[in-house]
Amino acid sequence: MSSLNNSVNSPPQALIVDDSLTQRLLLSHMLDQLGYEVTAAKNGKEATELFNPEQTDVVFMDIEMPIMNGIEAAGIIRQTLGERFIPIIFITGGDSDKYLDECSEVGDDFIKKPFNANILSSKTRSLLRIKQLYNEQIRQKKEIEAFKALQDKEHDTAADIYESIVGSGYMQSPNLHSALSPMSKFNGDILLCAYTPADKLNVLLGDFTGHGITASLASAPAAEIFYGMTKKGFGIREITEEINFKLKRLLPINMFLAATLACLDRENHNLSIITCGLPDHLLFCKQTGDIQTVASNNLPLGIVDSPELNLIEKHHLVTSSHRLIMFTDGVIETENDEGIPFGFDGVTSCLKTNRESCFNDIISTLSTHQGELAQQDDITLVRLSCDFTPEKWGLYSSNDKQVKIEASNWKSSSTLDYSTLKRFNPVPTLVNSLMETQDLMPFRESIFLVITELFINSLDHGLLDLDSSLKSTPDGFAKFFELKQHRLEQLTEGHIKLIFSHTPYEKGGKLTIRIQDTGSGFNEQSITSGLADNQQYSGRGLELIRQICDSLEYSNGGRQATATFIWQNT
Amino acid sequence: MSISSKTTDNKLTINISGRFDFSVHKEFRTAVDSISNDTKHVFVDLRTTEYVDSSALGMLLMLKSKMGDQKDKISLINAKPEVKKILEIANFGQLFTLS
Repeated sequence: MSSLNNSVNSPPQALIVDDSLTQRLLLSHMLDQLGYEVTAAKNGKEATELFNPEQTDVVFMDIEMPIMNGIEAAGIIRQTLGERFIPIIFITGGDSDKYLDECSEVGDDFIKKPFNANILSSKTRSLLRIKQLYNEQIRQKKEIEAFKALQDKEHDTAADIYESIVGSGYMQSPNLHSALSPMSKFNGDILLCAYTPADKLNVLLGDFTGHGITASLASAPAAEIFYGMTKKGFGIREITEEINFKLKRLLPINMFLAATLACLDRENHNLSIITCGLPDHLLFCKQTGDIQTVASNNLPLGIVDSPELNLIEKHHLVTSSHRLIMFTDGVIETENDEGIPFGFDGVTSCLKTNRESCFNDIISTLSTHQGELAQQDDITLVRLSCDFTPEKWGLYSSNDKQVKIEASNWKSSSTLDYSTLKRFNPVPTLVNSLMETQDLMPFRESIFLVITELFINSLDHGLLDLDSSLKSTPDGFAKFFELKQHRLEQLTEGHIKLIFSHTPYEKGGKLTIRIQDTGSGFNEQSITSGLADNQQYSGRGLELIRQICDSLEYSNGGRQATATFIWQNT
Repeated sequence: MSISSKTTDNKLTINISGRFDFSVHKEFRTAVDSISNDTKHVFVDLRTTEYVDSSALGMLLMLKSKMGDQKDKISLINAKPEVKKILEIANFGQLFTLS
C-alpha cells in the first residue's frame, strides 16, 4: 500500500502515546503484527517531541496522561500539520467517554480498550486510505495553483504582445469612434485603422469564431497584413484577399474571420466597403436621417482560397454627414432579462430618435437593455464618420522634418500591359521601387498621391474611356465603378507606360513622372474641377496634382501627362 | 440529446434541436464521425434549431471538409427565418445547398 509518508517500500509508521507500559506493549505488538514500525511515547509532551510529520503515518493517543494529556497533545500536533493530514486515533476506555466531544475536535477516530485486532486493522487501513486521498488532493491543489500562476503570467505577457501587434496605430483617426467590451483580456473582435500614402482611410472590423485567446491568436497576422499593405498603399480588395490567403492556411477548418473592410476616400467622396459575414451595417446620413442597409455579400475570410472568393466591393457616394455604423453580432444578440435580443431595431431606433449623438445613444441604450446581466459575447460597435473637413485629415500638414538626401541622376520606365492592369494595382509596387532607387521617403505620400492620380486618369479616362460626368449623381457613382470593373475585365489590348527620371536640381532634386497610355485620349478640362467646389464628386485629382507638383502638362490629346516634383534639402 | 442522426440509404440526416452552438460541439462531432465512404449525402435538419452562432458555422465547415468539400453533398434544410438569416449573412449559400 502506498499510503506512506516515504517510499512505497518502507513500512507505515505509527506513534503510540500511553502512560501505561502494558498498553504500549500490547498495542505495539498488535501493530507490529499488522506490519507497522512503532515509536512509543509515555505522555503528551513526549509525543509532541517524537512526532515527525514527515515520517509518522498514524497516531494512537491515550486521553488521560500525566504532564500533558492526549487532547492537548493532539491539538499541538494538529497545528504543526498545517494543510497535511495524519490521522489521530484516541484510545478510549473506562470513564473516558466524557471526553468524547473534546476529542472529536482534534482527533479522527476512537478505538476502545481492550483492543480487538480486526477492528484495529480495518480502522487503521481505512484511515490511511483517507490520508492518502487527502494528501493526493493537497498535492493536486498545489499543482493547480502553480499551474494557474504560470498560466496567468503567460496570459499577461501574451496580452501585452497582442496589444502591441493589434493596437499599434489603433484609433489614430478622428473619423473613427468605437466601443469595445471584450469578454476577456483577449478579444475575438478586432478593429484596425490606418491611412494609405494617398490619404485614404482604411478600416477593418473583424470577429473571429469563438472568444478569448484562441480567437485572438489569428488577429496578429491579420493586423500585420492590414497595417503593412495599407502603408504601402494597397486597396482593401488586395488586403482582403491577402488576409484571406493567410488565414486559409493558418486557421483550422472550423475557424474563420467575419470582417468588413472599408476605405474612405475624401478626394472622391467615396466609401468602398467589402463585407464578409458580419451583420448588416447601416450607412446613416445625419442630415437627412436616411438609413441605408449595407448587407454582407461575401464569405467570411479563411474558408475558401482567394481565387474562389470573388470579392464583391460596393462603392457609396458619401457626404460629410454620412456615418457608417458597424457592429459585431454581440450587439444585436445582447439579450435583456426577458431573453429579448437588442436587434437591428434597437440600433435603428437610436439612429432615428437621436441623429446628432446617435453613437453614444446606442451605447447607453444597449447598456440599459443588458441591465444587470453578464455580458454574453464580445461587443464591438464602430462609427466611421465621413467628415471631410480639412482639419480632420492629416496629409497636407507641413512636414517639418529635416531633409538631407543625396540627389542622383537616373531614369527608369515600366510598361504595364492590359493583362497586368486586370490583375492588380501597380502603384504601390512602383512607388516602393522608386523609393529604393532614390530615397525620397519624406515625400513618399505626396509622390504616391501624384502617381495614383495620374495612373487612375490614364486607366479610367484613357484606356477604359470612362466618362466622369457619370459620377455626378449617387446612382451614377456606383454605376461608374461597376462599369470600370466590367470594362477592365473585357480589356484585350493596350498598355500604360510610366517613365520616371530624376536629376539633381538646386539644393535638392527634380523628379519627372511621365505617363502614357494607348487609349483614345481625353480632354483634361472634362475631368477637372476646383478643389474648393465640394459639391462635385469627382475631378479633384488633377487639381491635387497641380497643388503638389511644380508643373503638370497633358499632351498628345490627353494620352500623355508629365508632372514634375521638385524637392529641397533643408 | 439535442443532436440526433440516422442514416438511411447512405444518406445521413442530422437533426439539431435548440441552440446550435459550442455546447453541442461533441455531439455534432460524433455525428460527423459517423460519416463513412458510403455516405452519399448529408442533410442537416434545422427544423427545431432556435439559434446558430459562429462556432456552429465552424462545425458546418468541418462537416463540409469531411464530405470532401463538395457543395452539392450537404443540404441545410428547414431553417427558420432567423436561423436562415445568419446563414445568409455568412453567405453560406456559396458553400452549402440552402433549402
